[in-house]
Amino acid sequence: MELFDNLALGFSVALSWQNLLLCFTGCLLGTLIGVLPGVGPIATIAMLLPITYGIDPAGALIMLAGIYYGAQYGGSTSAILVNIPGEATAVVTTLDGHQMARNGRAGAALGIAAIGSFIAGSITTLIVAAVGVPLTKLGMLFGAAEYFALMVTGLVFAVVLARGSVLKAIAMIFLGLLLSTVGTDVNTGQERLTFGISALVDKIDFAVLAMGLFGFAELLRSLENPEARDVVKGSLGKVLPTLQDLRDSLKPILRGTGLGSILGALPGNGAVLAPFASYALEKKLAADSSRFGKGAIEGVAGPEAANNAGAQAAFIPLLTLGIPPNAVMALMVGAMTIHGIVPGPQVMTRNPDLFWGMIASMWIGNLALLLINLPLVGLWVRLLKVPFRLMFPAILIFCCIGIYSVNNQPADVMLTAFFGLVGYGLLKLGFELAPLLLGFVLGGLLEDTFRRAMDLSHGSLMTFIERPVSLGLLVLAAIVLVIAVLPAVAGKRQEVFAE
Amino acid sequence: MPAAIASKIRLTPDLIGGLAMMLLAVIAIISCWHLDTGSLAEIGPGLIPTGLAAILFGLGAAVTFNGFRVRDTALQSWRLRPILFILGAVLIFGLTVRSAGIALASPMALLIAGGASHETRWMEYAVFVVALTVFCTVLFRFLLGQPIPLAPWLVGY
Amino acid sequence: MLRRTFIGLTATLLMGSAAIAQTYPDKPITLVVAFAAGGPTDVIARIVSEHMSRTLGQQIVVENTAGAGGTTATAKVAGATGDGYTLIMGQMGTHAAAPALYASLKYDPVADFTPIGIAGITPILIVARKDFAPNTMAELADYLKVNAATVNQAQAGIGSTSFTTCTLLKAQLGLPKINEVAYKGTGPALNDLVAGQVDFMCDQITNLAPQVQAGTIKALAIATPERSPVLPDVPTTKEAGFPEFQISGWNGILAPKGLPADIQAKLADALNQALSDPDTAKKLTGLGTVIPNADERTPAGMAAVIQRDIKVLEGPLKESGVVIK
Repeated sequence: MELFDNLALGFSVALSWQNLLLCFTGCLLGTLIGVLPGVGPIATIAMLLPITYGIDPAGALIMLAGIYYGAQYGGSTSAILVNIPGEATAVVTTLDGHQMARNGRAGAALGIAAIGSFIAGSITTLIVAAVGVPLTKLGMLFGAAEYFALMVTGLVFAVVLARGSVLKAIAMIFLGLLLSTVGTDVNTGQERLTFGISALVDKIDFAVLAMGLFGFAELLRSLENPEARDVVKGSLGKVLPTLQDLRDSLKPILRGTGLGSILGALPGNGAVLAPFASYALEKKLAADSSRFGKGAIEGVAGPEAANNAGAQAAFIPLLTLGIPPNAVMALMVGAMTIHGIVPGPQVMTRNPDLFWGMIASMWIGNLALLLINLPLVGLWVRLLKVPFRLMFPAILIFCCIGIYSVNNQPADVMLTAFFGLVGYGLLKLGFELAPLLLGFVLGGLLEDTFRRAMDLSHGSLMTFIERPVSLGLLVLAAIVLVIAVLPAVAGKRQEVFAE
Repeated sequence: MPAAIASKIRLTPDLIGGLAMMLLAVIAIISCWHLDTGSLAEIGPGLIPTGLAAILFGLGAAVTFNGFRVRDTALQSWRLRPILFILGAVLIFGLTVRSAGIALASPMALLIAGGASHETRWMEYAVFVVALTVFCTVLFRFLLGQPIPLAPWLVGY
Repeated sequence: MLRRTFIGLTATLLMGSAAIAQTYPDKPITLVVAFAAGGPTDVIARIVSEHMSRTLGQQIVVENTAGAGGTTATAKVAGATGDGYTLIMGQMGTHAAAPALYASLKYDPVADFTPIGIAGITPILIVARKDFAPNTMAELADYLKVNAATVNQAQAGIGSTSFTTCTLLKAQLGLPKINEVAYKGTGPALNDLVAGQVDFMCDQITNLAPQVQAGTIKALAIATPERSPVLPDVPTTKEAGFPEFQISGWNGILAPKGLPADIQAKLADALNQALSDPDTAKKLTGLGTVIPNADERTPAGMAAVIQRDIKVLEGPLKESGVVIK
């Protein structure tokens, strides 16, 4: 069968000793650097990229893939351990992952994240190998209007993430959207909402906002609540997930894989939505959705699987169309172009050994991740035993150095402190920060796709309704929103009746 | 009379929070006033920020309204000590990292941060600060080759 | 040991810039591309910088910063220090057309930059989505006159090469206003063109060639006197009956002003070596790019090209009436 021939070719390229070693090294380094709070996958890759220079093309790409997966997992690790997301996709993991850590189940959370990612990665590799080309046709259906509708759906998922007041969560989403407009206008270059501060001219960095809101603000809160903190010191329980955990997580992992594969295959950064969609789905499907936000393992298994599936499926539009969805993928495209793989419809026929070698090495990267990280879980969990009075300064300094190393701008560090204060204030007022961050992440994409959709439709808002895929997505978003809001409304009605 | 009204308006988190949102929205709209909004067919730089700010204003109003209705939660107080010491530490780091280098800015920031918690045991902490500084310096500067100044006042880079 | 280090350091500091140039480069160099990844400027930048990295002994890292037709990133680089560690892949759009299109452009393409050399000259193609009605330039001109209200043209932002060339084309054809859709680069624009979401575009050949060859988009004409060797079936604008539309884009490396002369020389030499290398040259010409001649690759040659194009484009662009505040 052609599928297996191709995979066999790929593995024969990927399984040389040198490449295996490169893959493992990349994974290990990526994880270790990515786990530092303040250092996300993009920063990790930027730091480790020089190591790949001077290696042959296939090897360099394989190592880069290893670093990427390692860094993503490292970002999830810091999300679970210290509630600091390494990148946008890890924000969802902080919700239940960190709660699990507080409940003494950090090992289970970390373990299920690794296992879920591996299962998702394996399945997605098969999908990419089997139906990669036809999946690109799916991407052809998606124009600017469809992407906008997809992003709106993503925002609605962000509402579902809210643990408390839906209204306040929506307000946070819009605040995040507003923050994403700070900087220069994409079309005219004019400055918007910069208040004359030169650090803001270049858009607010995700890392700055995330470190401020999730890092510093949380630190401030933890420092005033000694009792809440000590819960972590309780019995650490089993270091790895139990059989029951695995049973509970299987379906969420499979569902997450499905979501991630589809969303990741869309050109443009569709994969960023995968974790939120998975979390929203699991929360709604669960028998007792009030467990979510307090340490439900499905809330880690599903999103982590979706995340990984999305990252792998993103290679499809990357390789066949050459459009990288984010900075990391752009590096990969760059490396590929240099080594003679010109991304395009013919990439699979022109460079079969390099193409399938990449696909095979993706799977090996996933395996490496599992093999490296399961033993490391014990190490990370032991780190949690470090007394808080020593932990918080360490987190503080890693964040400071990490933020500074993004752009070498002291102003970034100041800005992070500012957001720390803002985040603290918002938390005190009962607002949730995850929707804020998610709104911020989606804001740029929303604005971009909205403008383009309007350009293409000559200014007609009807375009979102006239186009079937867009209409379908908006209807889906509306349904999800109603489902999200309904319990809250019903709850209020109960109160009224009770009185 | 004003005193009577003031005592009736309970300062709930929603009330303050909603007002804060409305204030932020107004600041944003004023800041974008001079930008061209354009039309839907030719979207100008001001359209989307202004639109988002307007929606935020509305949401803020709704939250404020909620704040009047629901009176059960009290406003949480702010603890000043963590804010001053933690954020102060971060600011000091930012201000001095270029001139003092990581070798000096880190310990300074860490020592200030220590003041944020009353659990800090200073002897142990001093050793920890030194160890952490060495670790970070080796990791970021030497192992990862990051262009963070090491100690410009000592070795010039 | 410490004393020797001290003396060594002092000596280095005292010897000043000469010492610095001798050690240049001692850390990775950033090459900014002012458009999203996948476009012609990006492709040329990556191909050329890879070879230059080998010559210089330090990695050149390409960084994509899109916005405002390339002028946002260009303005940012204009404000960077001229120490040779921040470079930009400028092009005809950002460095020759932009001054005529932006009333308050945040940089001066001549005064704020130190040219290194042109890396690739790119013939302009007029391309359309596969199922677009017109198949030739003549048909396009007629079609656009009738359907101006419903057609969509892609461009990479006001000030980019794709915007500039289509503006000139439309002026020469005497067309009414056509709706333009802005993208962050012709990489993403190409994506939409292949998908049939947008109708046509005028762009540099480099990223278009593989798609035209594969038949996913169609090329109506090429704006050079002779047909391109990689696309022998595409007629020239002269053959198609529109000889006045003759234009090629160019992409070249620039540094911020204040770059020391010896670093400029080092970079220019590395670029020259890259362009002279058969493998690198083949990668470029395989995509339709024309290798610049010996003069154009030098700083002086590039400066002359920039000056020439600023003058040539100023008139027609100002007449087109597009000016951003």
